[in-house]
Amino acid sequence: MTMKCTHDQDLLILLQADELSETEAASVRRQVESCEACREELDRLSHVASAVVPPAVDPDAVARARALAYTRIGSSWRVRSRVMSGRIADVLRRVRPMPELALGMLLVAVGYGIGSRGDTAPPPVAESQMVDVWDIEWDENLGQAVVRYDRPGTRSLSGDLSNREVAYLLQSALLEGDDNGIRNRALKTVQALASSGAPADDLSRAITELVRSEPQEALRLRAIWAMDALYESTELPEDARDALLVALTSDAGDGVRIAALNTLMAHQTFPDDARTLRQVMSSDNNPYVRSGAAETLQRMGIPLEELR
Amino acid sequence: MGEQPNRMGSRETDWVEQAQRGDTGAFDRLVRENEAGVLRAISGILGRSPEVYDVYQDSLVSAFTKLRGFRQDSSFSTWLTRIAVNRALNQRRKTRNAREAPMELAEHLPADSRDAASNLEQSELRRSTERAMESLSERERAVFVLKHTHGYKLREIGVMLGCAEGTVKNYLFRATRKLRVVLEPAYRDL
Repeated sequence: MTMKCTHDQDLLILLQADELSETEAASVRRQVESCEACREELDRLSHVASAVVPPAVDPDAVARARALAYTRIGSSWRVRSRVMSGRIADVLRRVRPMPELALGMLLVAVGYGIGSRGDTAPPPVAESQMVDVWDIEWDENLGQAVVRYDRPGTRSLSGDLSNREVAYLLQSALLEGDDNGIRNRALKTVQALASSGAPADDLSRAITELVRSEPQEALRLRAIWAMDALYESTELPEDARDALLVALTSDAGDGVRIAALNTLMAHQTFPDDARTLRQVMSSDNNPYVRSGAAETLQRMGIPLEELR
Repeated sequence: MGEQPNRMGSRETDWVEQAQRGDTGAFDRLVRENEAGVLRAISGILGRSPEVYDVYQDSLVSAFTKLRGFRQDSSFSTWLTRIAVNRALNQRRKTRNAREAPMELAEHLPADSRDAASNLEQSELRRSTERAMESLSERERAVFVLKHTHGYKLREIGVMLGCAEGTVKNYLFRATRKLRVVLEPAYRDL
């Protein structure tokens, strides 16, 4: 703005930020039309507003952060349940090796206890889920998942994926960030029970999250197998497809990339997949993955000569 | 953008109510629906830093534990962003001396300006912009980011930061003027 212009610059900032009323904005626009310095200033302000942008974020790191948050949320839920059952000391005993976590859980538990006074909102989980899962596994003889609880006298629970509680507990087990064993058994169970019921959204999302962000390669692989089994006869959800494409292009484990490719090959392909598959075909260091990508591209109707 | 309490209509209301009853799936849908915006706010304040993901994680846990008290008198997006912004500001205060450049000069500087300036000048301009962003106070930075990358109204930003709309307006004026001065050379010859 030149020295000759005595108009209020703050009004231009507010106009550019869309913070003026219609009447005020119309008045300032008239002023801008008649003043060259104001027009230039408004132009520069719009550049200032758009010149600074937040840096991009890493989608994998975001997925990991989300998964860790959900794991922590899952833990706090169980603590809440314990408080309602009057068994807080038992929780603290279980987390004794992790004093920071124990303290955190205690604070959440106390907070919940205070907050729940006079609160008539329903508990976050059903009464039958108010005990910690001790273990969950596939029972071949029964042909069902069996959930055993750590509370003496509590009967074990069995069922397949059509049982809402079993599906919920499987999901909880998958999100149990500090126990690879229970996640492994839960994934095996999901794979074995896949045909017993339509996959619940929550369960499907938990498995997709493992494909995206599970640090253990063996568990990522098993998560893909479970996903493959769950969606053997139905279309893959978009989230699951995305996770498989990311695994195919960037997972460090050859087995994981091969499993991702096999699962994608078994389902309908989309035109957008071709670019990813071409990239894999030309750059993956595993010959099986490269040839699998080429085969899938051929199935998509892309002539072999174009792929050479 | 701006405050639209029911911009997702009954769908968001339903999800919030389900999440308040303990439905993790509903909470996850709310989170994913608003994820990009919340991350823009956090990274706008903290810059290119691994702390962005820690703050995001903590924000989600905090949101879930506070969810029962959320009365839906603002949109879920505004409520979650408010939690995230305050956590990001706290984090920034803690690590003020160790942070990296908080912002990038956008690709959308005028093409003419990019073409006209030498690489040296561009580097200098980038450094100047980064310095200018560094010179903004936490609140000036937060207001500028929430206004210009999210389109929130100053009134909403005031609610998020716990200060009056007039104060927010002053933060916006100060931040804009500082950046305006730094970016002046880039546009001087247009």
